[in-house]
Amino acid sequence: MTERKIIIITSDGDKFPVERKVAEKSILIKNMLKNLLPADDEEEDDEDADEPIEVPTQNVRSAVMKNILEWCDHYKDYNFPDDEQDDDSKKSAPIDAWDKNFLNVDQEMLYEIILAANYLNIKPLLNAGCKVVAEMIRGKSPEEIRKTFNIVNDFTPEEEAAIRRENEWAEDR
Amino acid sequence: MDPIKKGLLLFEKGKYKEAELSFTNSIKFGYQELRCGKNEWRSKLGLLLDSRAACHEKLGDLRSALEDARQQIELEPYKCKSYLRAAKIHVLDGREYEALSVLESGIKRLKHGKSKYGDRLKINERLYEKMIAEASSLKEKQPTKRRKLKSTDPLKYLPFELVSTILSLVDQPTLLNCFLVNHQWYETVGNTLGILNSPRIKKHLSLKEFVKFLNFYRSRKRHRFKALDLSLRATEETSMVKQLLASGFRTEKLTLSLGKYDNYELSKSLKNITAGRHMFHDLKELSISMPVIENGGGLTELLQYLNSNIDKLNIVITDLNISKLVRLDTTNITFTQMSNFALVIRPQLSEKLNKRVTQNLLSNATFENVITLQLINCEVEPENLQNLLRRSRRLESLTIDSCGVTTLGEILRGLESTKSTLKSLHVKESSKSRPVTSISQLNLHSISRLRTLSLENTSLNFHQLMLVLCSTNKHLRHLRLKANYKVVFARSAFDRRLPDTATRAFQFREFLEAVPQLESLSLVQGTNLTDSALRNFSSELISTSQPIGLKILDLSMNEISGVGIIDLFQRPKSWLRLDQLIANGCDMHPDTSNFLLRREYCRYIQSIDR
Repeated sequence: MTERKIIIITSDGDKFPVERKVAEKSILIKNMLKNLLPADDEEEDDEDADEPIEVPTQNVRSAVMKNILEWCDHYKDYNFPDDEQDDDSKKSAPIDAWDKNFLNVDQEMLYEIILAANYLNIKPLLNAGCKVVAEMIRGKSPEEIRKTFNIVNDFTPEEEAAIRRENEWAEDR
Repeated sequence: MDPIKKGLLLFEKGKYKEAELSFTNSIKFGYQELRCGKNEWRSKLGLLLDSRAACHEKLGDLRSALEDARQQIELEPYKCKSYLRAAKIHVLDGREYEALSVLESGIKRLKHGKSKYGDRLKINERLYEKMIAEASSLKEKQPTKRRKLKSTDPLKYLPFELVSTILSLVDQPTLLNCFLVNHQWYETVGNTLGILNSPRIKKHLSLKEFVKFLNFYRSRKRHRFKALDLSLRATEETSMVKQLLASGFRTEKLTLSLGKYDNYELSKSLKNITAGRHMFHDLKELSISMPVIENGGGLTELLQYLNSNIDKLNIVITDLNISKLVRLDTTNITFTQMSNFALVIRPQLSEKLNKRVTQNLLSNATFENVITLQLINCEVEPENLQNLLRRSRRLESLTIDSCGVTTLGEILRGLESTKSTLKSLHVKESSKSRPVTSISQLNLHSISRLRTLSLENTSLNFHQLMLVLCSTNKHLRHLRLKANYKVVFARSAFDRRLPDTATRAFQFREFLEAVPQLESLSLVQGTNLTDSALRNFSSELISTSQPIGLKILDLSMNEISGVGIIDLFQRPKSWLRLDQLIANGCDMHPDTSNFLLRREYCRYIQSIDR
């Protein structure tokens, strides 16, 4: 029995044919397919079994989808642990080296990948993306954060000093 | 050399830190001179401040640089250089708008000066032109520059819940820096303060800082914490504790270090402050370190404010006093869910008081489900402790350290009829005269699954030690023996007594066969643990090939030398390879450790001289 083809359609109308196990890295698509596909044993009677299934994803543009699918393909044979780990161990785990390299893109693309991972419900990718952004912030001074993201400082020096005073209780190391 | 020239020379050489120091000294001197009426210093000071600002700029300390530029403007309001410097720093700091306004106000001032004083006011026209040019270029550049450098602020791209996830991955000092990025960040970070629910607070907090802490969370309507760890400045702590109790804050875990505020004061405050009672009742874990006053009720009076379901309780008594003025009835309290209890008494004196506080607490508070129990330096009567142990059902880890005349034998007797089976047992007997341990008649089922054992300063002999070790059914992973003076490792050549069971010397073969799964072994301050005993150890290691998993060996404070230690590894068929070797206070040359490391016999060696 051949597997039915799955085609993902992006917001700009491009079509991406993918393997089922690649597409199912997205819990959103996995659930959609569950509804679209009849249970396995009934499948043989189905007349349009050869017809590919089209999955529309209105919120993701092609350039981003290409990246997302590359990630899903890399992890297609890997089963991520289902259960929610406790918060602390999840937070402290370092970013996977492959993910880090994969997410080494310009900031706008990174944000789009994060948004898409959130929309498509791909938790491990979302986590890695958030960690990469957090890594851009961690250990930096306000000036450095502004520089990293091209943010304009709209505080007067007086306001800045007032905020610094607000935080005087905090351990600064 | 002229100090100013010296500073400039340092600056040219790129030694900005040294130059900055030199300028600071000259500036101090300059201000003194100026105050004495030497007006020629005014322009020199201007130059110095300008130079120091340049140093700060190079060192990346823009705030100090700006401060210098401001002083410079104040000192010489008609010098173009001052305004140009200030504007430059603002630009570097990403504040084009501020830069422009500095230049504009400078130009206005100079214009005003010109019309007022005319030609008498000397102005560097070239720099003045430069000011005007820069101001206009800033005016033009601002909007275009912004368009060119598109902001990739994650706050603008990502929805709030994702930003909040990201910020929860950032450490506290950086998070506080995030407040200072701009207004939007300030608001957003403030709203995600759920992530700051275990704030790291300065040690020895002053009242002023404490109030800032309260305001910080109050103004953001945050009242619930996961953990609060407060150590307060002793002189102001009365007011701080009261404010904390009245704050309405709730926390799961409270760590409080008090210098003067004692149990009596605290109970009194709790009695009067409803919010404080709620806070205490909500606690799952309490670690408190404070002086204690014994007044009949003692600690039990304080503990009744806790929820009976509290999980962990840690009390460190830093000072002991008695008060006859207040007599209180003792209360009985039962902690049904408490899994962790520790009582540490610091003061070495006032044995009687120690005894009263300990007895009072242990006979009035019940915690039958405790898993980890630690008593350190508590004057507990052996019968009392035995009662406590008999009642416990789930005990897994027990530490009894220097508690009165309690011996290992008494502890094991207390454990005889308990249902608990221990995983770890630490006993250090105090050096007081204590009854001779006898354990041969005891049922030792409670230690039949023991993984960790530490015995210090006990009067156990080798025979009794073997009784204990054999009862662990070869489960033992970690063993520490320190200063158990009756366990003799090697007989001296002159000792002619017949070896009977009580005075038998340490037999390494018998020992190793009882502990085949050992991963770490400490033999510290052993009686007669010499090189010759070590050779014995070494040959038995080879002939028994046990314990094969041994990775950590501590032989500190023994009369052994590098020769004996090397022998452990270098014999034919020796298989010992360690992760860690500790040999503090032994006669081991650094060359020996290097040799052991080089040969990869050990991965890490600690050896500190006596």
